[in-house]
Amino acid sequence: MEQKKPTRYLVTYRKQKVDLTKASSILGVARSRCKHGVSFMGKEATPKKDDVIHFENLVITSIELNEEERLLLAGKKEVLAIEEDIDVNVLLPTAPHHNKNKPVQSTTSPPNKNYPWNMNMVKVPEAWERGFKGKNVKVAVLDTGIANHHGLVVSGGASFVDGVSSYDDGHSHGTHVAGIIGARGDNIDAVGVAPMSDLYAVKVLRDTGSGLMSWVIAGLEWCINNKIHIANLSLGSPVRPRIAYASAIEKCQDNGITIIAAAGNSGNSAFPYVGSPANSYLRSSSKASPIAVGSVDQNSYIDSSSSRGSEHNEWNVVTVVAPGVRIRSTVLNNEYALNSGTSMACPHVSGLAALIYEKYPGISPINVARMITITATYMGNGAYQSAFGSGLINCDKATL
Amino acid sequence: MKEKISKDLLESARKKPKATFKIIVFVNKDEDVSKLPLKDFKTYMGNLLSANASGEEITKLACIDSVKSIEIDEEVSTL
Repeated sequence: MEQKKPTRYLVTYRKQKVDLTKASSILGVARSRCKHGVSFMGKEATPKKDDVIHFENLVITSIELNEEERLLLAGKKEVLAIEEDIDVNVLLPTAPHHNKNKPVQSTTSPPNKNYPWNMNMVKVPEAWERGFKGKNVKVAVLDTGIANHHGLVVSGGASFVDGVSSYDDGHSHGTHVAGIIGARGDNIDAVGVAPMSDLYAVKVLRDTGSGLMSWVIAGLEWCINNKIHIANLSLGSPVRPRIAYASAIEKCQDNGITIIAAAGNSGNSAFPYVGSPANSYLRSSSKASPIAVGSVDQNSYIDSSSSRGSEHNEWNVVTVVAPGVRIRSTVLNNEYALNSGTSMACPHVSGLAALIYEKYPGISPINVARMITITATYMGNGAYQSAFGSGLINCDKATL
Repeated sequence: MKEKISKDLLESARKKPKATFKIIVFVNKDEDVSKLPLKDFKTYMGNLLSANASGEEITKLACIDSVKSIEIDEEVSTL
């Protein structure tokens, strides 16, 4: 039987810290074969067949494996994912920055008064200055639709609401969410995190603001068929994880679509946990969980209603937080208005994902998530980690 | 069999076996979904089915090996 040629893979670990020695032990290769990714890439060297390149800050290793080795490694509990290495250069690492205190306003550059506070808070202007605005990245807003607005350019869309063929928004929620991702204004009125991204309106909620889970799943299928890069889900319900959602999210992420979901607004209710679909998980697959987003206010305090934690260890928890209180964005009738909730925090992260896709075309969803979490500014100080996850997103560091 | 039906749906189906429920069924990847005892359904992503079924039909459906889970097609809303 013909032996398949070994392929270079990226191995992602479950633990946040895996040094070179530990990596060589998990991979079952000699320590001498393992090289530090940063210094190796710094010399612009091309990996040889036997080279094992370990990026300690990213907690990822690039290694050649045959099919048997890949399967063996996939079964190890320390390994989160093994994906084909399409371009080793996309993984040039940035050092994680963890500040134990409340660090949000401790910026190296003063806030730019020309931009809304939420854009300054997550350091978007720094990414824009570097030229990253989400160009050629397709972001789908699965919501109440997107209304015509002079600040928005909608590239297309579809409706999955029974009896409604237009993806126009009669509610305003989807239009507000879309503006946070990609409004093209360049002033204090409202500008999106990724103003040059291609927005797609996928209407899965009625104009009353509610819909069915099956419509959301239909919308996710549309995203696969239309080669969307990022799907924003500022929707949900305070219920246990659903297998159907987990399966759909896994399929999307298998198809290169990063799923970003609002954690929920139940933080102060009888169901304080991250809601569905943000809490999705499958025991056997890390791809079945989305990036779950919690909400903070202008002073970096967690929004009291932001959902947190999980009833069971396996449920997906808050991944990161973003501004979600009194966020100004586009609404119906060419106007702007303030809205609050994890719905508003979620599109900040979708916008950041668009900047990352622009910088690293072809990057996998799992590495988008990793890039977002390792560059986030840690805020939990232990006690509140279930509310903050890895911390506040940082568009500057994520696009360095 | 019961484990395949989500807790909330199982309770409702037991209370009202004749009532019709909106459900989502997750089946094995290569299943021929046309052979399932469902009258009216839509298929998404190959193995997720959105259907209307009575409590009795849901119980029968759960006995089929290739059916992995049955959940209420629940309401979602803006957050």
